[in-house]
Amino acid sequence: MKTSLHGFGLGLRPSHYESLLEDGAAIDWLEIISENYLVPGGRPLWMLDRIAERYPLVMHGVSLNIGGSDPLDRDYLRALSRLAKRVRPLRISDHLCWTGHGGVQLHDLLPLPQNEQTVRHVAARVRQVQDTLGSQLLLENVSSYYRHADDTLDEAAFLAAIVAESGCGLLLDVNNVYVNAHNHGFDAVDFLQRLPLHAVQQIHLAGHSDDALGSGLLVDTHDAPVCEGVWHLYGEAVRRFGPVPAMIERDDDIPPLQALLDELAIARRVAALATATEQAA
Amino acid sequence: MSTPSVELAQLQDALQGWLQFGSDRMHGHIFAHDDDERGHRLRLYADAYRLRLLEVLGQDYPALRTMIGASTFDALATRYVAVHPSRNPSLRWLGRHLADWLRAEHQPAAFSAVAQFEWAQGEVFDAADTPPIDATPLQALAPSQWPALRFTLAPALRQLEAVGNAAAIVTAAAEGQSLPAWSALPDEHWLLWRQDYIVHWRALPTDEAAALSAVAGGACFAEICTVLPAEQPALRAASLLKRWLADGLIAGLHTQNPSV
Repeated sequence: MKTSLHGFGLGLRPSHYESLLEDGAAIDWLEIISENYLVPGGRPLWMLDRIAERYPLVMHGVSLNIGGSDPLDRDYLRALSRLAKRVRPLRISDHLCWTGHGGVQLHDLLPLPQNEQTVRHVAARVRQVQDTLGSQLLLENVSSYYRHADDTLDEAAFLAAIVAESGCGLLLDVNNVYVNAHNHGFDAVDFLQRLPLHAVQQIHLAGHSDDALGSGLLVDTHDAPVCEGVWHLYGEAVRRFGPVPAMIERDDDIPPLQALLDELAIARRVAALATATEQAA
Repeated sequence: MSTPSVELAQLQDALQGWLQFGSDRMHGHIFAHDDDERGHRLRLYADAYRLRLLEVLGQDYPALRTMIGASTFDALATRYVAVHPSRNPSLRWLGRHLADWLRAEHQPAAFSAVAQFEWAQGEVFDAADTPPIDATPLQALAPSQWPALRFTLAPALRQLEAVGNAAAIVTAAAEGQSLPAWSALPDEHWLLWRQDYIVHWRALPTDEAAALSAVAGGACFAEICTVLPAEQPALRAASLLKRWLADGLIAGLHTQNPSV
């Protein structure tokens, strides 16, 4: 079993279980959605154990509620710890957002007010999580459709401040940067330049959609191939952060495994080209 | 320990109110050039919240959705999540109250029966694993030990009653066949269990249902025999036990009360 994360991975989806186990695949690692395996037993955990024997895994959660105003869910953290002991992940990540309030789970990655007060609040909770898990936490930048009217930090400064104050790493979702740059009108390449250089430890690549009702906003659907603009931005990210482990994250309209492997091959080419041009510069 | 600011909690309460109930307290906190833009930015979250929950319920209750149609299902599901929002980090448990809620709402009996059956399928699918045992330990028992023998059932097992022909409806929906008409079949009992990570189900004879309920209640072999109306209840009980072992329903045998 590898002990460090490198190369190119995919999000593990149940429709690919058999292909991944029968054929093997040119994948360096797989990312699981942690919540999908917080079940008592049965086929999901049985398949997970078989997958874990064959591929290095990272854990990616969606319900940590790191920016929530409810107390951290200790039962959830204990369940995450048990799962981590089971699969021995090379990374554990969640999202920089809030996901529920007053005991109600909203199951969405909701934007936080970007100010120093939120930085301190999130950083304190990150430290609690890291103490509980015994592992550094990576936080992913989320797509968003609004900003709060009284934000005092832009998103890049907000992320950098949380990294500095909490010691967490970043899971950079390049698609989310692209979507947010469009939705909020900032320069995506400049955004990358302002993130702390060594904090980015994993990269997500995904697709998005136009708002069907014609608002002009981009919607983070993760249900489509990576578009040309996101590939370009990924090249910029590789030039900035180096050969960070990267993966295709498809959450809906899941195609056959081979289609995602083909997309991963594009990622390898983009990264190789970016690395070569950076070295030549 | 971090204490969230009042402002953060108020903002989150406001957006939650928008997502769950359409309240407009969040509108003033959104950066936008005009009301139209503000409306679009908030709408995307409301749409995503509603569609995500309906999608999950549709995946958990595919036969019910097919039986009553997508629009009726979505309308009921929307009312359901307003009363029973998710309170678990995993969406796996969102639909746990649906059958009871449909019953309380006086929806047709077919709705709650199919929902109850489909939820039981899901519970059996990912219930805790326990290694099933075979008949080998029984062969080592002295005859005098049999009357006090007790059993632990596997967690991946559910007994249902009064679900009519929900099993036939669920099966037809899964196979893409036209669904049979609802039939109440008031005396039928059903067993759902898991073997080799596959969920199975079968109708239970009345005496087997009674015996299995007795086992679940902690009855010993002699007590199980008392609920069997057969002429030779011990033989019938042994026959049932043999099948339960073969199906992997028994996770433990105890010559003394396991709770003692």
